[in-house]
Amino acid sequence: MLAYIIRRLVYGVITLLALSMIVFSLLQMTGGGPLDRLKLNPRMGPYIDTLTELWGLDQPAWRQYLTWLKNYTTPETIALQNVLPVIAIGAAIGLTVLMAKFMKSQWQGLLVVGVWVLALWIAISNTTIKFNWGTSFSGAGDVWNLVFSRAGATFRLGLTALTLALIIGVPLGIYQAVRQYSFFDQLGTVGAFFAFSTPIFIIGIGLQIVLALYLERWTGVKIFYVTGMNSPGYSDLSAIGKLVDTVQHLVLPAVSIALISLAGYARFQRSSMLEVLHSDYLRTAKAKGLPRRKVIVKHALRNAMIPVVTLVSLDLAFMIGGAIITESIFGWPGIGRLYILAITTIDYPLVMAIVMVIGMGLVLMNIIADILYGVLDPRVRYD
Amino acid sequence: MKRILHSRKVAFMVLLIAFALVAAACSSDPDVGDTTTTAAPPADTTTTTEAPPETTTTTEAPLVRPYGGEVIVADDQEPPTLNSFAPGGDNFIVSIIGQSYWAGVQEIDGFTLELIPELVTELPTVANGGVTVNDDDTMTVKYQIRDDAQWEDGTPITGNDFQFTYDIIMNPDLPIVKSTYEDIDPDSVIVGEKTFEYTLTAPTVLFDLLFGTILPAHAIDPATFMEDWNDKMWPSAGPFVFDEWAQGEFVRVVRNDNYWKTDPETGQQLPYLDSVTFKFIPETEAIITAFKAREIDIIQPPPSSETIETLQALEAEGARVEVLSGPVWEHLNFQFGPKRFDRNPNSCNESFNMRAAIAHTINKNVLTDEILAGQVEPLDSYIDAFAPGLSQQAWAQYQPDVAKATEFYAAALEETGKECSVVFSTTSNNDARVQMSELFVGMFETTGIPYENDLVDSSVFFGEWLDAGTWDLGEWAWVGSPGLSGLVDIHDVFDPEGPPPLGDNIYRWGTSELADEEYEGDNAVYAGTNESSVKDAASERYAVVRDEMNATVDDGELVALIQEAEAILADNLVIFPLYARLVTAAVWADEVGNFKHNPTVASHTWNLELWYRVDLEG
Repeated sequence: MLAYIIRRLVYGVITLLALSMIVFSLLQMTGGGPLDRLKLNPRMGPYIDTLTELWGLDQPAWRQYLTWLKNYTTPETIALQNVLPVIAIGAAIGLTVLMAKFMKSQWQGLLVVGVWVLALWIAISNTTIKFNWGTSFSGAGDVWNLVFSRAGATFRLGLTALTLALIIGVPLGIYQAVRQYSFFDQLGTVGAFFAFSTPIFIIGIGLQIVLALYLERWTGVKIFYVTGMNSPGYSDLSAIGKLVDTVQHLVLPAVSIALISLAGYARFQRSSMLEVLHSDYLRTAKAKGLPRRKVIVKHALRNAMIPVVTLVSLDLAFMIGGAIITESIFGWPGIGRLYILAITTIDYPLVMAIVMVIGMGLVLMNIIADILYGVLDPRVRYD
Repeated sequence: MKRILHSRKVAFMVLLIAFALVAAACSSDPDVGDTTTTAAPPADTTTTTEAPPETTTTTEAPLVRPYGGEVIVADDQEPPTLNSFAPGGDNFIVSIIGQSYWAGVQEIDGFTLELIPELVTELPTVANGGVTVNDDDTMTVKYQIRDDAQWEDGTPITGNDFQFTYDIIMNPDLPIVKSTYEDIDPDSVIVGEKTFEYTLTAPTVLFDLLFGTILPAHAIDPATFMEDWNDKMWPSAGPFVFDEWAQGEFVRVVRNDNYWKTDPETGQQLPYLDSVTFKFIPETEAIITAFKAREIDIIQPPPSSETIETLQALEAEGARVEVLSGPVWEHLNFQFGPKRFDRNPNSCNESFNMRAAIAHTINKNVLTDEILAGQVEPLDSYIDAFAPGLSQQAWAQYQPDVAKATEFYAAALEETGKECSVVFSTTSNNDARVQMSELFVGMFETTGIPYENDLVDSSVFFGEWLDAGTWDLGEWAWVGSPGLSGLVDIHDVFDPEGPPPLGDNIYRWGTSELADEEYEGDNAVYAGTNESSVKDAASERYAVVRDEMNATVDDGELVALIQEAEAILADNLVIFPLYARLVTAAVWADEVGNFKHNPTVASHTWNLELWYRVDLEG
């Protein structure tokens, strides 16, 4: 298992390297540059020269790339004084080594990866490890700080939406499969197609108008907010007040993302479940007289989850990159909005950083999904 | 010109009092009262007394604004930084927010749209002795700082702060726009307790925008100036104090208890509000929905006709909508350099007849009707975007006229001996400009002038085409600004003696090819682009006028020179102004008082210290 994970990580690094080269080249080829907006301003010539030199834009593209790559991969600070995160990282490494010796199941592999991700996150969020990802060309400051200042908001929205989608979508798909061709199945199918085919900005704006604007007018009570993650006076609120305020802001954007995801999960789960329900081994289980609930939950569901796991792993990676449209509609301060800003201002360091974070997320989630296949289906081997 | 002014706040004193009195006389504004027979000075203590009928003496109830409350303002853009000196600090939104805590020499009056003093007692001019043209052809400027001006911590604002600001700007290690500051003789600076004096190497009106933001010398460490600005805001000199920046969400400012200004109308200490929050919502639809839901008090959305109609429908519920002509002016322009033939081999821009044919083809009323929903009149001069009172409407001579256009086109064909045609280029990612290009197709069909569109993304258009002069008929916008300095500045871009890379005349009107050494390195893109096809007495005279303009500080002389330059540009059709972009703002007037939009770069927050919560009124 350990060898498999390491091999996948090496492939992941190669993929990320290729991704960085392609994106950097594309940015160079787009035409224009980050200082173009200044060129129309008379008297900006010397200032443009200063910034060009400061940001290394006078260097050939290949050298700019190598400089970026070196800075991107070299830790700028490793704050050893932050004891707790260091212990966490040490424990993660120790645990990995220890578990590798005795690792016999995919669950253990999953646990190792989970501990690593957690330790890395603690280290990053405590700035125990900080890489030099450069300074934003748009003037927004240190790129590392900028990206991770938005990551929390994106995680909050993404994980809430994912949880909502999973706890509704998967049971919905199962129920539809078990009650195939029933009225509820037909209704679920129509609803899923409707949610799937409606652009997310329509869903978002629709939710804003109905559940924020008109619901307040009808009830006279502010139930949901149209935009933002928290109210401006959030820090002055009590613990309960903060929780309520958070929920009031979180529900609409999370639901608008979840609606589309859950439609997908429900469809995949339904079709996968139907396939499993008609398989021989399940017929045998039924023939043995096992209770229906046990047949579905223990024998069918486990195998039927595999396609959904793939879907979830991809969804989660994209959510790390930010639900760009949703964040814009709801004024959510996540990575997606930052990404749009970076592209429109041709902010190379910021674009590269966000693309790489999304890329890393995809690689990681794919590894986790692959391990999960083994958990769900013991026939899967990693040698 | 394009420089964002670092000024803020209010139109106070006489103009505001006058306005208030006029408003009181002309409206039934409940704030002012509508039952008085003799108006007392606003700040007077007043009582209404019953007197014998024949000798009634009624005094007006004192005008008192309520303190407290919060106003939330939405914008579609978040500032990349809050430091106006840093890269990215020239963003519009930076100054919109900065007006709450910055102070400088000047600010823009929202009623007269002129520069007025802020930290100084009066703006220096030749007439008041603040500006002196010296015998050695240098110019000395002296500021008298207001006695009551102070930072939020109570420290007086002094000449040392001006000196510190100058030193920071001129620090060679800091990437700060230096421009006109470089013309200050460093040895000439004289610092007093409440005065600051410097000498420029030559007379120039561009001094009027200097020191738009003053930094607190006692609170900033120059060594970390560029690093700590987004986490640690320096002490405020404005009506509010920076409180919190929730990245991606909002910036919140709270009352500066040590603000020195009072409301000239009520005599009350400013500001009235406890706090102002600037929320950042990228989507216009979401901004409007949040405004409808009253989560936002003031918005300034992109002014599409649909948006304006939606907002105006809310006026019945208590909203007030302002639609004004803004400072951004769109213009058609001609490339006179040789690279235009790369875009259009049949370009005939060298022929005035061709340019006149194009001018008479364009129906600007159709453009404003279709693109701006008829909310504004077309521009007949770029001067309108700077100082409307000075405009001679010099382009009014080119009205849409098919017969004239056809006649001029025939003359152009005969003059050039070419199959003259037009290739129009602008940015393809701007909806209004794309619509404009589509409207042009019909107009040129009517006059029979061969025409085609060649639009490209703004990054390429501004990043490559403009520098290299590879367009035929182009279209983009400049930004106007109040004060004569903005007007003087804009004339640089037509300077025949300033071809790229030495100058900014990317139109190549009247320019000549430079020596080879000017095109070394990065400047190679300009080589072979500057030999203008139009070099005549008009362009020569313009160069002289422009030089004189840059060396004059007398307002009267400047106005005459500006108007001569305007006439030259119009008579020779160097450019063709089209329209000023709209600016829109909406406020819940039943919740927020004293809001007035300012169509200049000072925009909607120019007087935020005067805003108050109407719903808190007794």
